[in-house]
Amino acid sequence: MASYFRLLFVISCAFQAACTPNISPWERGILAKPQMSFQSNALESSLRKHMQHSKEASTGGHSTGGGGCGCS
Amino acid sequence: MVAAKNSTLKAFTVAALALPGLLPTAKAAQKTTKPVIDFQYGHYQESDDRIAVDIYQGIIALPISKSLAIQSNWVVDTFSGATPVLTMPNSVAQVISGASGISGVDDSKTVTADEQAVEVMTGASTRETRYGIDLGFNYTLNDFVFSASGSRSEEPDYLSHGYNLGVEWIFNQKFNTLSLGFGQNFDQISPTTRILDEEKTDYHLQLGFSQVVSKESVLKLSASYTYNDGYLSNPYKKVFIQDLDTNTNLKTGGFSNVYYENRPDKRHQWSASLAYIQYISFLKASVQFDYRYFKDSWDISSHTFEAIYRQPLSKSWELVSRLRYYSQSEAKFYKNFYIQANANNHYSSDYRLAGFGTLAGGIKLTKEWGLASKFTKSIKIELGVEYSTHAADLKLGEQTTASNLSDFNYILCNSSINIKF
Amino acid sequence: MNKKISPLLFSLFLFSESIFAVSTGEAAPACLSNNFYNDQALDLSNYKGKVIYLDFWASWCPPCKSSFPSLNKLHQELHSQGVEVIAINLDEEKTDAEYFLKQTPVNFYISYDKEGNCPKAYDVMAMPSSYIIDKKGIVREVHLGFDEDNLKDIRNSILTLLSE
Repeated sequence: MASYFRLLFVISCAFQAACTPNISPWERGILAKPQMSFQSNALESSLRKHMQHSKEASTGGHSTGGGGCGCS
Repeated sequence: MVAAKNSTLKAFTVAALALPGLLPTAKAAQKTTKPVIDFQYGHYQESDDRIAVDIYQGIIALPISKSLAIQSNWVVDTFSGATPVLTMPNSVAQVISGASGISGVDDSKTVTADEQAVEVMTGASTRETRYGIDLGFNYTLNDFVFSASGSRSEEPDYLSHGYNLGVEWIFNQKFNTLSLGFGQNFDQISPTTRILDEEKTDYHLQLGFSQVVSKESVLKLSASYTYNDGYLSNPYKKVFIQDLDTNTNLKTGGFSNVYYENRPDKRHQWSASLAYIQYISFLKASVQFDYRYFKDSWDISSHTFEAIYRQPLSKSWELVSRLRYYSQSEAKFYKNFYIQANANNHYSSDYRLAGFGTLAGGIKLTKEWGLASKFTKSIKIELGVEYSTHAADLKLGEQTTASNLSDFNYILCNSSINIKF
Repeated sequence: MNKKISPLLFSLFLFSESIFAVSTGEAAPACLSNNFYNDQALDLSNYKGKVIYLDFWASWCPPCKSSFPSLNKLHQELHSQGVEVIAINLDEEKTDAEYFLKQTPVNFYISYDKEGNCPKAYDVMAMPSSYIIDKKGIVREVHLGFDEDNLKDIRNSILTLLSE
């Protein structure tokens, strides 16, 4: 059991190291800009997606989330 | 011989509704402390007198407390125009002069596989309206956002109910998000021109992961799985099949050798997507690249590439331009027409299941007024236009069955307003 | 158990910068920032004998912005009793902050620190962050983020420090 925990721990540390960019909380000004968000207008993207769905056989894609200022 | 042409632009509407994405789902990301209202008018127009659609949509997001917000979306669509009902061998189609429908099929001729196909359109110009509504909430608890919503959509020949459940986890100093969503749709199909009452159920599963890469770039990965179970055919679409056994369970389509299409009653769909946004400092602009790979159990696979360039201009104006390329391969049972029966009894000549490509380009202009009035925090308007060309020749790799007979172009315009209080 | 603890400690050492953080009970470090309007260097030691509410903010941070009207009220109410609200702006582009301050004028002290000297010295962990510093220059409270609901507690803490 302990070894599983240790393995999990090592993996999570490796993940954290790999996924933690060296950015301080006060350095997120650019990430907070509207042009850095994945979806700027929910209605517009739903309309485009809907019309694409009705002409094409594919479904799926991105949901929302991600980026932003990371403010508290 | 009764003309098939009175039936349907419904061919379009049914297939459109059968797919998710009609309503913007309750967005966990739209965390607001003040009410937000959105309204949009969209217009879609195809070339060659094909269909036109007017779309009215709205969103109201209302925070109840610091952690709870409710959101409602609604949509009203009105369709008009003609859609293809059938593709068949040119040599046997008896065409009505001055109309796009057919008056009969010459069954004295034997058709060969390499014959030129012709597309038979509906001449219909009736209007049909769909009403859709979605009501949901999202609840924030520490680093988690939980969301749930229910939806209903109704039109004369189609009724759909559905729900979506989602959770988003923001972690690692907010450098990462992980999201999971599940939803179901229960649809009832009862076409107005046929005695038919069918049902289908959809299951959707979605997984998302986002990563802040640097001070100037973000990355997002998504995967989705959809399972459809039930009546998956388009009840208005027909196929031409030569020498089909007279004991067939396919419903006759009004002409000899013409039947209503029949698709498998199960479909598994998978997709994987990647999106990346990079900031361009000296322009204060950003560029986004998207790629999606899609595959389903009917042997359709597709690639989608999209690039979006966002350029803020002076005085809170912004210009967004985009370029999109889409290419799909055909379903394993798809043919323009069938010269003999298929062993699996599955047939469809719906151009959506054919191999083709689409190239689209669009621009959008937005303007935001901060503190526009005493009661509003900001008002934002947006005007956009996108032009697409859909063609068999645009498909990646070699052509299969599809000829260029169903090539067409379309334009999509939208104007929207967003008010934050 | 011991085996599990050692990688834990190791990772804490690796990934946490808390050992450099300014925590309650320590002296507020000196750092270089300049008055937003006249460029004069800010020297916190000039405020000995006063209670300081030191705020780190940026115009791209929504909760920072929404805290300003409340902070202004706090300033107006308690300034005469010896409370100094000092807000250090960390925008990379000063014009963004200027635009916001024009829309939301405030009477308390605004300082500008483009280089991020001060948030480094205070090891700011979130935006906004605020430090309540007593008359002797000792950090007594650290608040991460801004929540309207905590305002009453903050005010009470400041009043307690004033009476010390």
